[in-house]
Amino acid sequence: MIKVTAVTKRFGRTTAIDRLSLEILEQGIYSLLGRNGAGKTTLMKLIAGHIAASSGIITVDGKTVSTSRMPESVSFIESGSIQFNMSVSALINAAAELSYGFDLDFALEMVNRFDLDMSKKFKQLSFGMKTMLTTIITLANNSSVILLDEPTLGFDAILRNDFNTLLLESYHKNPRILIVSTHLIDEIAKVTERLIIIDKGRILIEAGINDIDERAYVLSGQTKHVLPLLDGLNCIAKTSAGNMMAACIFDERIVPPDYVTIERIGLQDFFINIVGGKSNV
Amino acid sequence: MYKKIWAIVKINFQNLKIPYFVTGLVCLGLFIESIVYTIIAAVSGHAGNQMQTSAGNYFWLLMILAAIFIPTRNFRRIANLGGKRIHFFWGSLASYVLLALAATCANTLFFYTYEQFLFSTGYFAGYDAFVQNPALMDTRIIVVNLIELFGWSKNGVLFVVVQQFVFLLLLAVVVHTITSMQDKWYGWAVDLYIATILSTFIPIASLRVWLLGFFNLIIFIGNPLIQISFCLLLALVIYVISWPVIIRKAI
Repeated sequence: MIKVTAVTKRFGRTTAIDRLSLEILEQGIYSLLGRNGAGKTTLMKLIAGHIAASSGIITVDGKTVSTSRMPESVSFIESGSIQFNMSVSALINAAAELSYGFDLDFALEMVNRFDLDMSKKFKQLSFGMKTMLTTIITLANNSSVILLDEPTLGFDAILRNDFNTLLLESYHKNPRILIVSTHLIDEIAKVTERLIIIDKGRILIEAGINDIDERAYVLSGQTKHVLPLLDGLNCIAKTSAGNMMAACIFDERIVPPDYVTIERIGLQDFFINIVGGKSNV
Repeated sequence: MYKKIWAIVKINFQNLKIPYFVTGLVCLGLFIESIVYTIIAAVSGHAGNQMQTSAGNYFWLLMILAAIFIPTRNFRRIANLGGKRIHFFWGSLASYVLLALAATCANTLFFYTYEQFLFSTGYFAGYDAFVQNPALMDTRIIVVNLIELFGWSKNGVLFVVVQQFVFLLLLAVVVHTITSMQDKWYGWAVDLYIATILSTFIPIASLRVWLLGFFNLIIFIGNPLIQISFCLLLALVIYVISWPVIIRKAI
C-alpha cells in the first residue's frame, strides 16, 4: 500500500513534484503516464526512497519512506540503468544475494524464455536485452511494490509484447503493486488495470482503464450546439475550427441531440487531450 | 544482514578491476625498475646517488583508488541490483578493512623479504640505514619504504602491520567520505575547507605546528598505541559522518 501525502520535491528553483497526493491501496498493474519532465521518475524515486522529498510524507505498507529508510518492500528500476559489467548469471546471483526473498527460479525461467545468454557480459547485450535483464532482476524481487520507469523505451514491437507477457506472468505468480511509467499508452493498456496521469508534478487523473473507456468521449458538431451541452460536464479539452467544435469530455455519458455526434476516444487521444488540452478549455 | 554485507564485499571486490590493474601495473613497473637497477649495479660495479620509493608502498594506491571507485561507481550499480544503503555502508567498511589488511600484508611482506634481499646485495640501503649513515648515498641506491620513513619499523613487525593497517583504513575512510559527497555542494565546501587549511597552515609557522601535530598523531608519533587509537577513533568518526552523506546520495 502506497500513500503519498502533499509531497513536494524541488531541485533548486524547479518544482518537480508539487503538493502531490496519491493513494494506491490495492494490488494491480498501474500505468504512470505523463509527458517528459512531468515528474514520473521523480515520483517513483521518492516512493523508492532514492531521493528525499522537500516536504510531505510518503508511506509504503505503513512505514514512512526516507532515503535513510529505503523501504525493503519497494524495488525501483529506471530505463537504461547501469549495471556491473558481469555475466548475466553473475548479475542474477548478485541480485539474489542482495535482495530478500529473491525468486531465483522465476529469474532463471525468464532468462531462458527470453533467450538471454547466461555467459554474456552485460555490456555485450543489446539495449533491449539489457533492459529485459534489469526488469527480470527487479521483478524477481519479492518486493510488494515494483516501480519500473520507462521499461520499454527503445523496444521494438516484439520486445514490447514480450515485456507485457513478462509483466503479466510476474503479476500472476506474485500479485502486488506494479507501477509502470510509459509513453506507449495503448500497448500498456493491454495489461494495466489503472492509469495515473501526472503533469507538472501533479496528479491529473487516477482512474481504471474501464472507467476511462466508459467516461471519456468526444462531442462534436456546430459550436452553437456543442457549447450548451458542456455545462456541468468535465470538459478536458476543446478545439474549434470555423463554426465547428470538438469537446473532449471525461464525465458521465450523456445522450446528445442528433445534430451533435458522440464518439469514443482512444487512450492515446485521451492522454493527449488531458495533458496537452487543458489550455484549450 | 551479515549475508547482505558479505554480498556487498564480494561485489566490491569483483568490480575493482581498474584499481587492481593500476596498482598492479605501478607495483610491477617499480619492481622491474629495482631489478634493472640491480643488474646495472652488478654489471657496472657501482651504485649510488639515487633514491627510489619502494614498490611495496604502491600497494597503498589500491586503497585510495578503491575508496574512489566504490562510492562513485559501485554505489549506484549495487542499488540497481536491489542493494540497500545500510548494507552498502557496512559492506564498504568491511571492504576497506579487508583491502587495508591486504595492502598492509603485501607491503610488509615486500619490506621484510624482497627489500631485505635487495639490501643484502650491497647495492641498496634502506631509509633507516641512510639516516644513520648519510654517506651510504654515495655507494648505494636508497630505497624509501614508508614503513621506515614513518618510523613504524622501529616498533617491530606486529606494530608495522597494525600501525600501517589503521593508517590505511583511515586513508580509505577519508577518501570514501570526501568522494561520496562530491555530487553535493557540501562536498565542494569540504574540498575548499581542506585546501584553505593546507594553504594557510603550511606557510604560517604558528599554524604549521598544529598541522604537524595532527600528522604526528596519525603517522609519526613514537608511541604506537596512541597512533593506533587516534587513527581508529578518527576513522570511526569520519565513517559515521559518511552515513548522512550516503543517505543523501542520489541513486
